[in-house]
Amino acid sequence: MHSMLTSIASLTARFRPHPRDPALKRFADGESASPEERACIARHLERCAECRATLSWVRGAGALLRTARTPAPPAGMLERIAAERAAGERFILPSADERRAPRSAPAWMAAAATVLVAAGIAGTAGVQRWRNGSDASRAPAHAAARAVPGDSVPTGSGFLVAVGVLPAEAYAQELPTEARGTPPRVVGLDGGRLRAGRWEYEFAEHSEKGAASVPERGAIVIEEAEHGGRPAWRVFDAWRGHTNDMAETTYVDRRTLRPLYRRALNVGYSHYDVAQRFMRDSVLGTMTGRGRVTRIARALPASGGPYAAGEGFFVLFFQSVVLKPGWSGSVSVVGWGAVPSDVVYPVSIRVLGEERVRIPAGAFDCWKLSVRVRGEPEQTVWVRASDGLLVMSRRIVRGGSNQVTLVSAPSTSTQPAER
Amino acid sequence: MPPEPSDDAELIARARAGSTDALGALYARYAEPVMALAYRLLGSVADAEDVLHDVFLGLPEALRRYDERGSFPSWLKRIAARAALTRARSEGRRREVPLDAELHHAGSAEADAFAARSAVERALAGLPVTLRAVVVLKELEGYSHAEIGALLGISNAASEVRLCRALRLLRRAMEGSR
Repeated sequence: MHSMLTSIASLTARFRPHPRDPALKRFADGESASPEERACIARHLERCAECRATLSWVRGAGALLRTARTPAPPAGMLERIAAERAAGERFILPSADERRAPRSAPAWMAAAATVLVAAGIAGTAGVQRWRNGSDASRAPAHAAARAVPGDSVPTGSGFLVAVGVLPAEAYAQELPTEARGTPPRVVGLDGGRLRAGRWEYEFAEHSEKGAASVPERGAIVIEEAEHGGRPAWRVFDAWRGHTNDMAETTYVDRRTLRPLYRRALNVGYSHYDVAQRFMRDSVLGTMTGRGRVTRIARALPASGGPYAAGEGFFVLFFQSVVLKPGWSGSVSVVGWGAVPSDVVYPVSIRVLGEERVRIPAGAFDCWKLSVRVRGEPEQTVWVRASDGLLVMSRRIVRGGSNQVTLVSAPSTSTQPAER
Repeated sequence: MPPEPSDDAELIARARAGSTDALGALYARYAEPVMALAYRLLGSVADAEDVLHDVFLGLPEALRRYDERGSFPSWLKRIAARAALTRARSEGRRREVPLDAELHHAGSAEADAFAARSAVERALAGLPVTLRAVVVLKELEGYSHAEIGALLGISNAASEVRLCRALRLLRRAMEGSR
């Protein structure tokens, strides 16, 4: 009788479907989806030697895998890293806590996620030359060498990344693109309020005890220009310090500030060359590097506007919008666009109140604003109430803050700093 | 010796401010696990060394984004995993067969252990990178499917399915090697 029961059981087992692998694995890990799933598998296991063997193998897999040897760090690595850092090389790592990555990330993401800055190539002379210059032609030598005829400026990315107003490239790639709960879109951007000039900023980290890191400097140069026969602003932004070496040129419509063209060279550690043309409701272009060309062709739906491109955009933006108590609005920053997840980043801006700010450049009566890129920590930004001059941006981090501070503004376009 | 968290906090603060000594101390503590994780994910010593290099070259700047809410070693490992996975997707990565230089001890329990180990290593190295990542992160690093999904940009269910496919392939490779 017993043996008959056993053979009936094994016969039944043969015709009963085996549990699916994931369910068996969950069972092995004590993570069954439900008590029913667990009980069902337990019953099956009683009758099915094959699944018992699988279960046993699966349970031992972790221990088995841990026996796989791993190599030790190579000798001299730390010394090499220290020497490279001393020479000014940096590497922007991906964020640890990004949201979901694109399903199939193409190779260039590796580079977009990282920016290797070989500051040593240009050297101190290059820095000095650039800092003293007033236009793009004085850009760092190594970057200028990469510039293409007709594009006077080398580019990368960085000013507002350093400011913290924009997410760093590394994690910019992976923010969700849908905008939920963002304030109304900004209307009535008036490029006519904008003047040409050069703005300089300084970035430093401040500890709670008052210590500050050695500041890095960045500049934004806005000039009247033409693009495709229409009046435009040419915006050159560059950031040069001990962590970043970046520059970029963007043309925006003189009146509406809508982006027309952006050129970025030296993007990522593979020195991608990104060119974007903004045509009606699309951004089109190429990202070239690592011996291949990725085409950029993305829709920029009208409902998502106004669109912003270029790290210098917010210097233009605050001069071109009329702020008042309770004002809030949103714009979309355009990413590189080579993958679907890197096209549009909604940015929410809100006036918090008025505040007088004292910095080395002077004292300024400001609007205090909250600026938030979706998924990023909030920034506090102060802009001069009288003309929208971006005076300061601060992001609170544990143990202190990261701060961008105005160093100088063009005297032709703004009143001298109020002492 | 497991490092004291408070020591880490001090080293982190100093490394963030640019101290080479502090970076060196963090390297001394964490280079090994970072290298091990990168190697497990990539299956190539050269690629793993590149990841180790990149992680510590970029660490002082990356620390600006470390908010100290979670444990530093797991934060660092997440970054290393991301850097390795990014590298895995890149075209320029070097390919390599795993270590098997130590296989020539014959006729002892030790030799069997070596043989078994290298079979595991071979089986792991034989997995496609997308499957290996899941099995390494789940079975060796203890990530949840949700965490793996977030890292790889796949759903929890896809992570489960990949894990099972990886385990099946590993089992077949291991059993075939006996």
